[in-house]
Amino acid sequence: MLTIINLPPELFAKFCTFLSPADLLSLSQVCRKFRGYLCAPNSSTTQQIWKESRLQFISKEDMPPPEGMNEEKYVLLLMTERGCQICKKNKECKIYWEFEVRCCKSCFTVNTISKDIIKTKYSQEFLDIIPYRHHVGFFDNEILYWEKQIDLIYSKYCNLPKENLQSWLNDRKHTFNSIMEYSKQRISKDKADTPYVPSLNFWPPISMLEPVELPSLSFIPQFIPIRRNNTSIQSPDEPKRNQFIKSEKKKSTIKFHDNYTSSHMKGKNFKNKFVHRYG
Amino acid sequence: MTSESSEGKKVTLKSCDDVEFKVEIPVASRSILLKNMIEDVGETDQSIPLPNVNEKVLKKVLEWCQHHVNDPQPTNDDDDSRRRNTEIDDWDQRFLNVEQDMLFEIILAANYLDIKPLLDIGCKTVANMIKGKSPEEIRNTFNIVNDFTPEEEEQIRKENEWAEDR
Repeated sequence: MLTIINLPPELFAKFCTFLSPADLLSLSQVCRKFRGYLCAPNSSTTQQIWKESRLQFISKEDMPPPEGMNEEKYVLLLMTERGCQICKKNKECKIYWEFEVRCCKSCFTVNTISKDIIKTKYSQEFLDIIPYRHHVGFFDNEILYWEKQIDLIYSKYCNLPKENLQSWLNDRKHTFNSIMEYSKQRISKDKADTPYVPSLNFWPPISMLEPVELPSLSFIPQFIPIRRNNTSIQSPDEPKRNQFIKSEKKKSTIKFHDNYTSSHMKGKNFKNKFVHRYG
Repeated sequence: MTSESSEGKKVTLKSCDDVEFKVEIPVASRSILLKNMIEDVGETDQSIPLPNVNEKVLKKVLEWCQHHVNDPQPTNDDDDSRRRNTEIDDWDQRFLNVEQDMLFEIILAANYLDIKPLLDIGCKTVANMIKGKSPEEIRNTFNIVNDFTPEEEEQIRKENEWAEDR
């Protein structure tokens, strides 16, 4: 008897074009065959499935993934509604692109380590290739690394034959530059997407910022980015800032949810955007 | 066999189990494969063999083609909007309200015969059966055996603890 399991893969891929990332994820956990179809970082068909699902169902996420990250990992990272990837408890989380992780504040604190503590342990050439994040506190300003990431890269670094070291370092440097650049772009995209940042004045000016934790925003539970075309509620002249932020935050949560679940209700703009991306 | 008025021109299709269907050309032309064949071959008395489609499925597919004979031919530009629109009209829904193996047979045939709109609604129907379901519910829906080892299952569970309270 003909079942879904013995249909050719190209038809399976067709079903997937109508499914959201969450549904794809469920599908990938059904059996080995589906997992093989959907967890294949090197298959262009698989990458295309996840990409189309992302563009269609999380339309504000039209930026491509960072270099070297596959579409599946990317879309999983973007599922902020699923909360912290580390403790899996806290729903208030944020994506740290430098570390390719989505986590809550406390997991971030536990898993990161300041450059001041480790700088004597590692060589400069090694530290030069490790992605980091600027943390601007009220009293201090430090550079933070993700400990597991350091360990992982360090074990590779130590096990390298000498003659390969330089080319490995060059490759790593390239990866480092691209992920740091990507994080920067992300920060400015988030700023453009979130209405409350532009009119806040604090030092240093936004244009000068490296990827940072914004201290003045720490009282806002977490920022869930708002879709760009929903910013009609954005008003730079809003007099009561606190109130504004609160209501904004609530709305944004609902909007995001709406956007995610009823994704077939797209406006004309969306279609154009899609068309543009696909030429 | 096929030459009365230009209106009633027919073509003969032969299923893999050797059953012949006489079909009006506009109906058969819903299938791009057949449309191209008919255009290439011109008028012919010979039947067109369809080695991948059996009588039961071909009958069903032709029923769809007959109902949709006057629909405009899809163009590539429609691709996005069709995909975005997950709704299926009432007639099509009733048409596809069949046993699962028949549904998949129709999808396979639509793919082989290159009938894009039929393929689309077939795939949408399957997608709708998947939407919003947990892996276990999907297994039940399609009668799929969970063939993960306990270790793999544990691994998957760890990766997706959040998914449980969806």
